[in-house]
Amino acid sequence: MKIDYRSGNSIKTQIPLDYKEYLKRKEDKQQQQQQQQQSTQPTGAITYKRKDRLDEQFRQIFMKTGIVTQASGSCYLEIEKTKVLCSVYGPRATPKTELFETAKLNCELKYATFSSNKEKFDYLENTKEKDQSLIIYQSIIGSLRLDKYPKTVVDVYILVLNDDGDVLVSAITAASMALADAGVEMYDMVASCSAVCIKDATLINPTAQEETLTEGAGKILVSKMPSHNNITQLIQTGELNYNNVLESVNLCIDGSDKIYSIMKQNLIDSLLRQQKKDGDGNEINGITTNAADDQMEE
Amino acid sequence: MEAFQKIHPLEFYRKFLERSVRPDGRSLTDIRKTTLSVGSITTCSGSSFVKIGNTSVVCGIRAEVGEPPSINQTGIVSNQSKNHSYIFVNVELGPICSNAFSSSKPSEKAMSLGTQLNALINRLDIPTTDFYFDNEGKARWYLYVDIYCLDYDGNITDASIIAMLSALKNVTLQQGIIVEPNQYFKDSEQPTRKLSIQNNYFIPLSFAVIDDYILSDPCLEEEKLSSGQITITFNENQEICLLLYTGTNGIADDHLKKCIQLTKNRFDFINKLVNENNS
Repeated sequence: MKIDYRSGNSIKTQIPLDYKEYLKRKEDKQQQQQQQQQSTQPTGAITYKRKDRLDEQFRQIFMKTGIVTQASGSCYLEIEKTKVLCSVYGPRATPKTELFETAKLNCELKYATFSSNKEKFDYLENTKEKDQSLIIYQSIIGSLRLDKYPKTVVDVYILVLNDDGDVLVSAITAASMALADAGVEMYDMVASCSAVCIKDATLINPTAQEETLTEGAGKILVSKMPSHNNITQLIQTGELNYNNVLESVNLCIDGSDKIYSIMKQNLIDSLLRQQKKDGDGNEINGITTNAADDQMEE
Repeated sequence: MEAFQKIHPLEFYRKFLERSVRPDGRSLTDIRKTTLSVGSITTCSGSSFVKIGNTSVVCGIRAEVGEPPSINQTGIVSNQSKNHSYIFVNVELGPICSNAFSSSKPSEKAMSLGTQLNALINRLDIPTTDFYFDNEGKARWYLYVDIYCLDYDGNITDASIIAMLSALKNVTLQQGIIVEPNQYFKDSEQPTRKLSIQNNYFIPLSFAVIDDYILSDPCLEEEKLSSGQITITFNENQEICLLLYTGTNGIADDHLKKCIQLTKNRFDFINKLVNENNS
């Protein structure tokens, strides 16, 4: 068992909910019960309409690479209020990896304790974080050429600072950008997109509120490598009928293509920025990293 | 030149220090550019982001409600409530900020820094009434201050102290309703309030000692090479709240005096920085 060494409060505390929200939920529950008594048909007819954007519209995305100076590669990504930081270390040698023919990929997602105002996150890794780490791992491992780096390990660490929905999409995108920034050889960058289905509407790029609107709502996550037109990961959870699945997968594929174009543009911009900086008098970083790559290949 | 730096880093530094400059172009007393922004994280009650050079730190404060331990009716209330802490500070130096740290357990550096900050936070005389959840104070707010390092390039102590202070200034608490025992709700119709932290700022500055030279605001490389480190923290009344010296050699009296003077000079800058962002 893991022991937490951090200082804590001996008193049990909880996050208080909003009183208005509580009253509203109580009312809704009573209504539902009444309806269920009147008719035998299942209700669950929650209608929801987006106010500020269209159903298939994305929120504003901002990303920047190379902001953690200590890491080999890093990326900070913001989808409006959702904020994610990813840093990549490696490929580096560790005593454990001596036996591996290919590089080993480690992926770790952590929520900051203050990242959510509904859910409590501990300092220790919980099951949700483990599960999401694995999803990210599976999404990006297909894109990397790990056979180029034998006996090494590539570490990907992701920290969620603010959770306002679509954390997985941001994390996968940030991880892929950070890996590209670190110069790890890959077939293509992985772009990702998710959707939530509420009744008939398919909401792309949902907020935290939309994600928790209905329990058991259909959720779809697609990660793909757009230039190869390969899907690296497809996850569907919750109740959805067949036609809805096809439709949302198509919508998500379109969405990832859009994200990919932003990623590509950002990577080009960051390279140009670096080149300009190097041109100002410092030694050129590009050459040294290339030389290191060549050595690795030999 | 690069090879010389890699093989004999200390000699490399000495060559610079003899001429009273550092390899990154700063003089011995220069402090890296310090920036601060508050309230960027929407899911918590108060937050701040501090950057000193490349070192960046994000601090978020999570407010939770709990019942304080029952106070003895006959006992002196004020004495007990003073010893009772409402703020808990924790520092996370995860693997994300540097490859020197692992994710499995908190590093010694993080734990010692956390203890120092916890000791320091009790010096802020915040009235107990500020933490009342309802009017009578049956339940209280407890603040969990979490400091995450995002980029570790030396002088983490200064960055975390500034981040902690400005995040606390940024905290907004709401009055609440207790419906049943152990059922707490925020009442969004009531006005929010801030903690009354006045005239109680912390002004920190750290130094690294290499040979006989004192370098203010050391970067990671300098911290690694140094034989000792000094941290001085002043409060608004120019009293020393925290003075730490760790190192193998002793420190001369006039060196320490010089350090104290340098920290005093930093006073106005930090004061202005925190106030401007929180007005």
